[in-house]
Amino acid sequence: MDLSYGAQYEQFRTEVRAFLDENWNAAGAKDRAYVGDFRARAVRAGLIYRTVPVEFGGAGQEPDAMRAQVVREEFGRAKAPRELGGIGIALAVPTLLRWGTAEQKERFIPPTMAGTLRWCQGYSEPEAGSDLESLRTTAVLEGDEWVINGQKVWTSEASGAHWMLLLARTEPDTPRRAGLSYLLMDMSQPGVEVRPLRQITGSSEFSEVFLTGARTPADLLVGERGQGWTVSRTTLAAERTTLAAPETSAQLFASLVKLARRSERSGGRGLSDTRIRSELMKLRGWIEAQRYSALIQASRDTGDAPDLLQLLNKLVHTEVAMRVSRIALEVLGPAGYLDPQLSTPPGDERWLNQFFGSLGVAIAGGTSNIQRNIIAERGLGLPRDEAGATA
Amino acid sequence: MNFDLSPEQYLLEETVRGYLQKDQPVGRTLAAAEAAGSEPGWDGPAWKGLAELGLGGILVSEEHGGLGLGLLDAAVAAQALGYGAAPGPWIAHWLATAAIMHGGSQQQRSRWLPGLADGSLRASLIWDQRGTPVLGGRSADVMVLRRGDALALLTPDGMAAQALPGIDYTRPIDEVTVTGTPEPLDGADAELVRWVRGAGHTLVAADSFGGSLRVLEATVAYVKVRQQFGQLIGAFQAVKHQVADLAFLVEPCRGLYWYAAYAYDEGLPDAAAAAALAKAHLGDAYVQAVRDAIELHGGIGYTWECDLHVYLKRALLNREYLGDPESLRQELATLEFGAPVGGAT
Repeated sequence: MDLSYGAQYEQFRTEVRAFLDENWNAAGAKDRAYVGDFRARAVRAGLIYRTVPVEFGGAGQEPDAMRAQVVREEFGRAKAPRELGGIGIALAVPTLLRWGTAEQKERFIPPTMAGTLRWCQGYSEPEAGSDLESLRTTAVLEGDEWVINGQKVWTSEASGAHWMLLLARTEPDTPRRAGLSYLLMDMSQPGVEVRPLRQITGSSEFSEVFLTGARTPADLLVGERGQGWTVSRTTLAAERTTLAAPETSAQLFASLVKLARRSERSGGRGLSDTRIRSELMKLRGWIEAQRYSALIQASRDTGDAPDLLQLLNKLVHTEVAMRVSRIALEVLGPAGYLDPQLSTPPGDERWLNQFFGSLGVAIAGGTSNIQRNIIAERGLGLPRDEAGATA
Repeated sequence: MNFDLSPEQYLLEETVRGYLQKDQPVGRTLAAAEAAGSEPGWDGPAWKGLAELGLGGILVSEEHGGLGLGLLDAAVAAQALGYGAAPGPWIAHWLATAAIMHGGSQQQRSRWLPGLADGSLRASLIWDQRGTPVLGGRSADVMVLRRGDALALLTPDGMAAQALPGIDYTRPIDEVTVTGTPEPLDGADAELVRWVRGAGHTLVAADSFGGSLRVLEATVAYVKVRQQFGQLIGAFQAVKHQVADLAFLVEPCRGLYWYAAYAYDEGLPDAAAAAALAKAHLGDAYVQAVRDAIELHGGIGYTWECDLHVYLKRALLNREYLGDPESLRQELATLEFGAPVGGAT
C-alpha cells in the first residue's frame, strides 16, 4: 500500500503547475476566446483530451489514470477549465472512436471536440425506461436512407443539440437487444420535434423527441446492424474518472458545513446541534468509504467486467447525495420553503436544487432498483431473473 | 500509487482464515465456551494455534521475538479473526504488547515481550472508559492499565477479576479491581495513550469488517441453495435487493480501516480521526449487517444452531469497545468543527 504519487508523477505535477502559471489567468475565465485558446494550449501540452488521437483534436497520450488525476487536481486548484462537458464529449467521442468508420470519425469528432457540434442521447422511450431493450422506435432502410419513426424521452440536452445518438429497432424479426442498431441523426429536419419536459426543479434539462419519418443516410450506422446495444454500452474505459465522484462529495460536504455555520449565525439549527454534528459525521463515513473504494478501484485492473465494488458505486453515490440533502433540509430552516427558481437572487434555498437533484441521482442512468438486480446477479452470482434488466 | 494489500498481506489473511476454518470453526468455539461456563482458559487451544502462526508478536519487534510488522498487517490479521469469529482477546493482547514495547523500560520489555510474542504469555488492557470491559482478564499474565495519560503494568497478584456475563461467547469479559500497586511504564505519555486507543479503533474496525464480510458471504451462499415456491429464494427480486443492500453496507467499507492503519504506519496527521471514523462507521454497519443477514436466513437464522447469532453478539461488543459510534462521532465533530457554541443543542 502506497498512497504517495511517486517521483515520476510529482515531476509531472511540477510540469502541470508550470504550464498553468504560464498559460492560465483566472481573470480570463469569462472570456470565451481566451478560454478556447487556453484549451488548445492544454491539448498541445498533453493535459486535456489526453487519450483522444491527435488527428481528431486530442493529445494522443497513452491512458494513465494517475496523470489524469494530477491534471484534475492541479486544474481544479487553479480553477482552470478542462474538457468541455456534455454528451458530445462524454459519449459521442468515445463511441465513435471505438466503433465509428473513418468517415464518421473525421466528420464528427473534430467539431464535437471544438464544441461547435452538440449532441443528445436518444435511448429511453415512454415504454422503454428500465427495460431499455424493449424500445420501439423503428428505423427502416429505404434506398440509401434510414426512415425513423417513434418517440424518445428523457433526452438530455435535446434543445440545442445538432445531432442525436439514436438507438432504434432495425431488425423487426429479431427480439429485444439483438434487433437494435446505433444511428447518427441530424436534429434539424422536419421529422424531428423537440418538446422540453419541465422537471420538478422547474427548469428543463431534458425533452421528449417525436420522430415522424425522420431520415438519416444509410452510412450513418455505427457498428453493424443489430449491434446497437453493444455500441450503446461504450463508456470511457480509459482513465475512468472514478475519483471525480468522491472529490465532488468532499466539496459538497465542505459547502454543507458552511451552510450549517450560516444557519447557526442567523439563529437556525446548525453546527452546534448534536444531531446535526452526528449526521455530518455519518455522512463523512460514507464519503470516506466512497473515496477509498475509488482508490481501490483505481489500483486494480478488472478489465472490462466491473467488479462488485464498481457495481456498488451508484448506490454509494446516491446514499451520499440523499444524506447531504437530508442534512441540508434540516439546517435550511425558513429558506426551505422558498423557491430557488423565483427568488432573486437565490439565497440558501439554492440547496433545494441539490435536494431535488439527489432524487435524480437515484433515477438517472438506470434506477437504483435496477442496479440492485445487477449487483445481485452479476456481482454476487444470484440466479438471473427473467424480467431483470441485467444487461 | 497503490491502495491495496500486498501479496504477503493477502497470504496472512488467508493463513489465519484457513487455520480458523479448519481447526477452530465457530460451532466448536461456541460449544467450548458454553461447556466452560464462566471458567477461563477454554480458548487455550485456539490461542496456541494462532500463536504458532506468529500472531502473538505481530506488533513486537524481531529483537524481542516478534514479527515486527505494522498496524496494517495486524489489521489484516484482525479482519481474518473477525471473519472467523476467533476466540481470544487478541486485540487487547496486541494493544498491551505494543504499549509495553513503546512505553516500557528495557527491563520491562525483556521481562514480558518474548513470552507475549510467542504466545506463552497473554496480555490484556484495562482502559478506564465507560463501555470498555477487560477482555480475557482472568487469562492474562499481565495487564496494561491506563489512568489518564499514563500507562502502568499490573500482574494477577495485584488485581481481583470477576467474570461479567458477557453476550459475546467468543471473548469473555471481566470486571477488574486493582488491589496492588501498578508498575509505571515510564516511557508512556499522552501520545502513546492516544496511539493505543487509535490503534484499537483500527483493529476493532477491521474485526467488524471481517465479520460483516463473513455474514454477507454466508447469506449469498444461503439464498443460492434455499428453495421455496419451487425456486431458489435468491431468484426473488425482493431477496436480491435486500442482499444487494447488504453488500452495499459492507463492501465499500474495507478502505476505512485500511486507510486508518496505513495512516498510522506512515505517521500521517489524520490517522486518529480516520481510525475513529472507521470504528464508528463499521461499529454500526456490523450490527446492521448481521441483523439483515439473520432476517434473510429466515427462521433458521434465529436459531442457536445457525452461527449468525455468534457474529451478532460479537458485533455488539465491538460496537461499544473503546468507544461507541455516537460518542466517537461527537468527538470527531469537536475535532473538526470545534466545541458546540453556547450549549445551543
